[in-house]
Amino acid sequence: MRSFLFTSIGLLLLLSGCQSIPPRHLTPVSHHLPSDTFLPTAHCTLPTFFSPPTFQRALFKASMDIREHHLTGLLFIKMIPQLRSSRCDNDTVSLPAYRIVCSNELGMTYFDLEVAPGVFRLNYCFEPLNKNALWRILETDFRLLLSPEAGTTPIKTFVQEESNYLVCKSKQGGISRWDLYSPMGDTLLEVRGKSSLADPSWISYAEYHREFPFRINISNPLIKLKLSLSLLSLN
Amino acid sequence: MHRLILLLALFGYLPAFTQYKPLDASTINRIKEGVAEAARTTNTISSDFTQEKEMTILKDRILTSGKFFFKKEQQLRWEYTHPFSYTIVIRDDEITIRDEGEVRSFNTQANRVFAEVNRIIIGSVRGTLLDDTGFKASYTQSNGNYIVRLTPLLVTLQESLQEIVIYFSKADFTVDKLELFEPAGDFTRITFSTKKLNQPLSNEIFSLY
Repeated sequence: MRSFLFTSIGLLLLLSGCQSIPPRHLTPVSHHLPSDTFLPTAHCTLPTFFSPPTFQRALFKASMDIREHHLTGLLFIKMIPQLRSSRCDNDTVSLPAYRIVCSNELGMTYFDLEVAPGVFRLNYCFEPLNKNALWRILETDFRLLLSPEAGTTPIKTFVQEESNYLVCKSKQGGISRWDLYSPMGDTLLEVRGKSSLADPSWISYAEYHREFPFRINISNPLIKLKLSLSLLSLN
Repeated sequence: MHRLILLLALFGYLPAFTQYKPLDASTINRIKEGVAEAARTTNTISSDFTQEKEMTILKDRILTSGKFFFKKEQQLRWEYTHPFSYTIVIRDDEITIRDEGEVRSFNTQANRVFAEVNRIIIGSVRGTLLDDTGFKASYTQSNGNYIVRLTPLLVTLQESLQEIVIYFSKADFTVDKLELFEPAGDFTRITFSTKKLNQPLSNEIFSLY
């Protein structure tokens, strides 16, 4: 029994390792290019699609596939800035916080949650979706998507051989993430991340209009979860 | 000063009480008979609808709209046209969905909430819902509507739906408005407009294949 357990765990780790979330063949930017080469993204930043002051709310058409289940509906993301006291003085600082509501087309709520630096609160969840393991993975997904901890830790910049993608590596809110930009560094193509071996997440971005991706696909290969978002409105 | 506040509060709330006073037994019977008669004589309904999902804590709402079709006995078509294109056809226990060009079918019994919403909408159109033992009903009225509040008695349904409010037209006992209240405080209001009763509707409307 014990050997079966260890074999299973080993197999799980092996399988999760095979997902290859960290991009391969990365070279630090400083080693890769001559010193006089212009590189617009030598100082990487995390995606700012959902950042203040430009972002307030967005409505997406959503579809979620999890194993044999297929759910469709609407996903609404609204920024709800939180004021917290600064550590240094009596000033308050505004931190990015988000409320996310997902419902079916008839308006019935699938889930309602909050994401902020150090906070992930599930306010409501449709009972069949009420699984801790699922929410641990979706927390990673939404933290990668919204980047509420942006700017809190240093980011290292790499170039991926063959593709020439610029890769920004960082650790934000306990999640290791790799942001893959086009070779010119002006278009975010993918974000990959994980907080543990059990929650690798892969986000792809496409169909940019006015510097916002109209199609976002989130994939969690380990539990076969796919969340596809198509932008309906943004302000 | 306190008396003034009390008076203002009292006058502020009085219209609400007069507008939604409970109805007596004979009026309730008249509503049930009116709804049953409308259901008996209504073979088809086509209508526009607007849907508002009110997210009370966020103080925000999602607006959608489209067209609604009903044909006796149990055929429904919800066609969302704004801000996205999405069609649901419900025939008896089968749901077919067209979403971004892709058509899928499944059984309502596989989706409890869909099954309940389906039962509520068809039940209100056909008039069977008012005698449904799965709900506790209370009756009020406003100027233009008889208002029926249905509270689910099943615990499993209470997890998703706290209350359903149906606004029946006093003129023809058809449904003007439907409100679905959720336990967390959010609610969805579906308002029907430009209703056409008993116009011919082909069976093709209720097929997405």
